Amino acid sequence: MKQKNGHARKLILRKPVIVMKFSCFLPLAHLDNEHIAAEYNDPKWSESKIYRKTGIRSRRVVKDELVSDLAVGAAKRLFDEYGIDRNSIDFLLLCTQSPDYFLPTTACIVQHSLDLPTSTGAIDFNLGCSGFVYGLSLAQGLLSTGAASTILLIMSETYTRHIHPMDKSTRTIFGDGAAATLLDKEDIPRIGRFVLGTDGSGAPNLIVPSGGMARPRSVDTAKETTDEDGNIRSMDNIYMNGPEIFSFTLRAVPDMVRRTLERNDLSSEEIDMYVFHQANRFILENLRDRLEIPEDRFYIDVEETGNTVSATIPIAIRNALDKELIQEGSKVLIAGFGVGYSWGATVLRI
Amino acid sequence: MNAMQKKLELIANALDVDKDLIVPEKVLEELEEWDSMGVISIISMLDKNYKVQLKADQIKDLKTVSDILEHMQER
Repeated sequence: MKQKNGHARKLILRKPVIVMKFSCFLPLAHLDNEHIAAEYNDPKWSESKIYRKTGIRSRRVVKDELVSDLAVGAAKRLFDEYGIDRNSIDFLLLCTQSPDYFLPTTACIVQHSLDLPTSTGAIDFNLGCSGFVYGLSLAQGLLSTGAASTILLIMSETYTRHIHPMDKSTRTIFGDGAAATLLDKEDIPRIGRFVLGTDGSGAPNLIVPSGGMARPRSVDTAKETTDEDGNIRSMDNIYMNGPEIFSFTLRAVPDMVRRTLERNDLSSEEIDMYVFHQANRFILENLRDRLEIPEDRFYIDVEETGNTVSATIPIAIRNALDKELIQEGSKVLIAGFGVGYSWGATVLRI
Repeated sequence: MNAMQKKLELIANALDVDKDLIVPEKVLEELEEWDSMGVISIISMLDKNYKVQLKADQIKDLKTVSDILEHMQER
């Protein structure tokens, strides 16, 4: 038995040390609390209060950039930082809820902008905060069946384009950004087992009501209304029922995390770092307390980017790698949850 | 401090209001702090202290302080 272990260890040591690859791209413009507070001129939404309630100091927001621009920025950075040959990619998975067009598929536009081979498969998938976990599950499937050998997985989101500037409930939370990840056969064993879930009854609680076929944009949908909290928006804008989304999170996430540990035969203590969807600091701290996870193994990183929807988990992993809070071999439990409702979790061996 | 006082203080702290304002018959709508952030703070307090997770219709049904107190049952 001893010999067998020794042999296995030698084999592992001979393999080159490569961590999973993550790169990020954020738009240049900053939107900080000082600026937001000055616009609202409401003592309930002072600079310090916004920070205290959300843990967010500043967000990065697009001006003219499109989701495809951020996606291309993140992918190019990935190619540069890890010396990746773009011709090696044979599948592009892009997650967004603010695509350039209804059609064509944004992933097709990105394939062309990145000059990826025309033999590359490319699809978009429409998910929000659970998108990265679902993207990994799709990638694992494509790699396992041999349908793809090298996958470029991109999360790119510009929610601020959906937000009315006078809607404090969303403007203080969301930022724009993109993250790119490369996955090949070597990564299959790094991706653990998944726990996924959906509850479409939550659809009305986080929604852009108009613009799709159910309610096309019109003069009527553009009419602004003010809610009881003084937030202004129209049906063309994003609406978030904050209390209900928060309550859903508390109902769904702790159970999902426990089941993810079970399904991966791991105890809570064996996880080196918990990297959840970076919704905001308040939600994350509530979940951390609820799950009784020690602070040093629960990553919170919302201060400078805000909630970038599907991009938060890969951005957070990259930041945690840069800060050496996680390294090659670290077991990282990731959990995404939100719009849909949709949720998913797994364990990564970085 | 009796159990009721303790509960009222938890509510006052969650809403960040003077505890003299928090009495069982108080109508929540009358409190400036009863906005979406205030509701979220109450949901958080109930989850933390009483392991209660409110559903959407239960959140809508919170009209007075005593409606919140109903969810604050020691188990």
